[in-house]
Amino acid sequence: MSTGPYNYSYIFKYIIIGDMGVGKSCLLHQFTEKKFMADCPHTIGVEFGTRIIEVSGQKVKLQIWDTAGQERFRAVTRSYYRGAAGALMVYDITRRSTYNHLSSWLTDTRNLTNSSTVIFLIGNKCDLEGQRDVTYEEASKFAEENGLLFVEASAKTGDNVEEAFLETAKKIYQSIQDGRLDLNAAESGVQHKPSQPGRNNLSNDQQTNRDNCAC
Amino acid sequence: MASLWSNANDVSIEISTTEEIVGVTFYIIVVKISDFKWKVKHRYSEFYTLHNQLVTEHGVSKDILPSKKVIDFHIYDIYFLLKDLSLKCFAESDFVLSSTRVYTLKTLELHAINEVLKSPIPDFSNLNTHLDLGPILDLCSQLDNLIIVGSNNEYLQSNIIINKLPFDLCPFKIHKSLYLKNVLLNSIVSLGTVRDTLTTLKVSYCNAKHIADILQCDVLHKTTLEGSQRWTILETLDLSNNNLTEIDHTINLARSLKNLILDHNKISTISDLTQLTNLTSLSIEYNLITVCNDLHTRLGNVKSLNMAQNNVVTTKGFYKLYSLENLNLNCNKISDISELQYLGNLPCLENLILSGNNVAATVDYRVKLFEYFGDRASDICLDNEKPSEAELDKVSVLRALRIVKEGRTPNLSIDKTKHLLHIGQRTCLKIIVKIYEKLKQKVEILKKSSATVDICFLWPLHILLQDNQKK
Repeated sequence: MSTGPYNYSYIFKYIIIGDMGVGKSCLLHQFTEKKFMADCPHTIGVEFGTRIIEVSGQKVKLQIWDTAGQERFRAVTRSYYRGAAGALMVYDITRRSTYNHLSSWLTDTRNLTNSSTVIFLIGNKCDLEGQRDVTYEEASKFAEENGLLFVEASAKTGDNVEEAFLETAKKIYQSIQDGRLDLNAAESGVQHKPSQPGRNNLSNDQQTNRDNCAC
Repeated sequence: MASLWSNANDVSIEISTTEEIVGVTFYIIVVKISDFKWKVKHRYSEFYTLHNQLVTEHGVSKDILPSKKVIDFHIYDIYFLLKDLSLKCFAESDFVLSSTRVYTLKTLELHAINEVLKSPIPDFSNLNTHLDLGPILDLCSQLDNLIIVGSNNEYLQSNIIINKLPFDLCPFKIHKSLYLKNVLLNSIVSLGTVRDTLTTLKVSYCNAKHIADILQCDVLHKTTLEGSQRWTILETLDLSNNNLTEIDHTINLARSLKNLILDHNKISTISDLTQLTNLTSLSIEYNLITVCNDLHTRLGNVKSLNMAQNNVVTTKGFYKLYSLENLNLNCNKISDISELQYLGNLPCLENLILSGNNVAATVDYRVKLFEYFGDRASDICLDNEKPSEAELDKVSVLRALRIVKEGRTPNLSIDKTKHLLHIGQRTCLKIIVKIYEKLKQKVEILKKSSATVDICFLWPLHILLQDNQKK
């Protein structure tokens, strides 16, 4: 079990949130497929993607939930916040309205995730410098005030996309090392993948769940 | 009294019934040793304690104790069903992905996944019951081959009819091949992205009547073909074991198709497939094909054609399938050898299967057939067997006879024909004499080795030669 491309020691759960049309699905696609998806359809409910990365010599699998930005899906997408170790909050630098809505996204995130969830602010579409509507400084200040990591990226050119996902993972890994993130908590969004198959945290938890279950 | 010691092989322990006493379920265990039996009552918690003890002290697997599933929610409820599936996927994903990369899901499970993705997850007061779809989607998005199995029956003890549950393939992305088995095609709401990712699609036992039912299963108006419905890289389409009656024009949605398999259907004619420019192999075994006129106008450049177990009577329609390399006409209704002459024209044909036809039982069937191929007779593998030396010799004789009789050379390559026509009949005779001598020598050799030789076939030649000499 210790060799092969599917071996990894941790699973981190991410969510991507933000207004409709800011490029959430394109960021995910760029990160998982290293390609830009030109005419990306509206996400219905949620989409899903994975990639294995390396953080400080440890193989980590990212399970990324890409949520729909449309208001009508808000009830559905809210259920995916829970248990996220990382949240990528995306806005479009060419549309101020998407930036203005950030505070409500942030409130949602803070309410529905736990305190150790790493929140990363991404200003997408930085390749469209000419149409810029939100300055770097302004967003940077917002991020600083709210204790968020921040970067401007472009799903089209791929600029800073890797960095955003990797930085988040590094930060989460740090929290684990510092002991701030409890691996055994159901809502941590991190699973340690043990080397022995069959005897792992997940099945342990679920086994006891079933017996406690009221039905 | 009972004695376990002396009856170790004659012991049975079973839980036959349960009994409820003041709201607590007791399981009644019947222990039977030889002819003696007695009852013991225990409640679930006692089993649980015992099990835990066994796990810690004796290393018994901790999964074997069935959980307290009194009302079977884990079987019939979407959330509990998926929790179990999630667990299974988590445990199996490494193994599956590093070996076969094939996974089988039931339509029921797909339906459950779709339902959960569509709706907010209910907020259970107990946080531990949180359902994590991650492992399922994680595994499913990395597979090469997904098999989806349906059923027309009711699901176990419920009134849920499995094939009536709608599902879509949106959450599943990068499959190379998909196999739908016993699925009600109408219940597929959306095919998601598979139209752009699949190279192989197999749909069997789905009772499909038209190809549109399959390639456009998620489309309401199946009469128009739109660009967005194209299967862009599909190379193999296997629709065997359905109820297809014709190959309708929807097949053109899969332009890149290389292999088309339509075995075990009810197709009676082969329609125009020339738009499928990449098609090299067509298999249409066990169908109802009787007439096949001018196949070349419909099949284009097919290299392999399998039409075994049909009702084909003649090969006339095959006469211009110049790219054909393999032809299987096993078990058809060809009974006259002359109906096979058209195959002689096919310059690339190498493998030919005609066994199971009446014609294959006729006298000198192999030799007569090889004769149609003229010079190429030695290249043809008939019914999985190359022509033997003796057969080739017979073919030469038959050809020579024909030249003499008809004054021309059928079934010969063009330059040779011209040549022979120029030098005329007399020279042909010389050739016959040569062949005759050669054969005679062979016969002599064989006679010396005291083998019994059938030289009957030399007789017509002999007589012919004598006639000519008299002249």
